Amino acid sequence: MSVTVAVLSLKGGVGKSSVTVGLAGAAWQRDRSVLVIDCDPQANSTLCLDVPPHTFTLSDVLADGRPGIASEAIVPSGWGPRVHVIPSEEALAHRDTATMPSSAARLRLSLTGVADRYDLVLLDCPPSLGELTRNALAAADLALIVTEPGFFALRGAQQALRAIEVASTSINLGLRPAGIVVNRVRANLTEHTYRVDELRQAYPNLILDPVIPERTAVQQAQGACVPVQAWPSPGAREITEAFDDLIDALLSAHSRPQTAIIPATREHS
Amino acid sequence: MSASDSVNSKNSKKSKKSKKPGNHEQPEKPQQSSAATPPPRPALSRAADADVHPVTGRIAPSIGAGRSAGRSFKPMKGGPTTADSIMGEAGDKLVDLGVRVPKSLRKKLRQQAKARGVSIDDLVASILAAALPRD
Repeated sequence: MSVTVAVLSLKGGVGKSSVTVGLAGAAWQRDRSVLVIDCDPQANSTLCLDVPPHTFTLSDVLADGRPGIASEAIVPSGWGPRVHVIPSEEALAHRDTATMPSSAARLRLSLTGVADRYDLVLLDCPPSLGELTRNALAAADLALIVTEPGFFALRGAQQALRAIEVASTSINLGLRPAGIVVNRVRANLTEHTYRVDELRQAYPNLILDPVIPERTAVQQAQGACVPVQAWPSPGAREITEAFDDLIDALLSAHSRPQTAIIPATREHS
Repeated sequence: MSASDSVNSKNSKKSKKSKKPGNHEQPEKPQQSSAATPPPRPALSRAADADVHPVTGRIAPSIGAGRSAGRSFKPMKGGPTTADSIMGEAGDKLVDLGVRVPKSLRKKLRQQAKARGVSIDDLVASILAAALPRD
C-alpha cells in the first residue's frame, strides 16, 4: 500500500530535508521503493540524494500540470535502484505563487497513477505556506511536522498544524497529521528537555517517539551524498534506529483512524 | 508496473533526438487506429520561465547547471546572480582607462591587489564602482 507524506514546518532550518532523506534512507534500508519529491527551491534533498544530470524538475511538472506527467520528471537517485527523485531547482520559486484557484491541485493531478507505484512518497516542503506547500498538502495522505526544541520552532509547528487543519477541510479532505518529529535534540541541554516536555503536554497524541538526536553523522552522510544508514559511526547507528522507528510510526499512522488535532491546536493557541 | 519503469526521462530525450532532421533512424511505424489505444501524450517540456532567475528576473540559461545536481554540481560562473541585481550589470564590456596617479598610490594598489588575490584592474574597478553613485 502506497503512502504519500508531506514533510513540513513553517520555520526554516529545523531539518525538514534531513528528516526527508532520513526517512528515504530508512525505506532504502528496508528495500522499499521510495519517491522523494523535492518541493523546496533550495534543492537540498536533490543534492543530498546524489541525483545525476537531468532534464526536467518539479518546476516543469507544475508548469505543465497534466495528470500523470510527473512520471516524466522522475530520475533515479545515486542511492540505489529503488530510490527515485523528482528534483528541484532554483526556478521552482516561480511556482510558489497561486496562478489560479485550482493551482494547489497541480501536483496531485500530475502524480495520478505515479504515486501508486511506490511504497512511500515523500514531499520535502519549503519553509513557508506558499503555493508549493499547499500543493504538497493537497497531494499528501499524511502531513509530518518537523520541529526542533526551541521557542520559534514550536510556534512554527503550531502554525503548520493550523495549515494542515485548513488544508484538510478545503483542498484535501483525506489529509491527516502523521505527527510531530522533534529533531536535533540534545538531551544534555535543559532548554531542550523543557521544550520537548512542553510539546508533549501541548500535543500528547502527536509527538512521535523517539525524538531525533543531534549527531554529526547526519551532516557527514549528507556531505558524502549517502544515506545516514550507510554511515559507519555510532552516531549514525543511533540515527538509523530513530528513523527506523519513525517510519514504523508513519506507516502505522496511515493505517489507524484519524487523529483529532483540532482541540490540541486550539488549546495551545 | 514496477518503479523502475517510471524512470523515462532519458527515453523522452531519445525520442526528441529522433525527431531532428538528418537523424538516420528507422521511421516510426504508423499507429493503427484503435479505440483502445489512447493518442500519444505530448512529452513534458521545460517550463517557459525555467531559465528566468526567480530574484533578478533575468534570463540565465546557466541556471540549468542546477539540473545537473549531485556531486558534479558546480557554482554558477558568468551568469546573472542575486548579487548582480545589487551590484549592477555583470556583462558590461571592458574598456581601457588610463589615469595618472601618484607612484605611492600605485604601490598601495599593487600591494592590496596582491594581498586580496585579485588583479589590479579588478581592484580599481570595484573601488571606483563602490565610490560612484549608482544609476
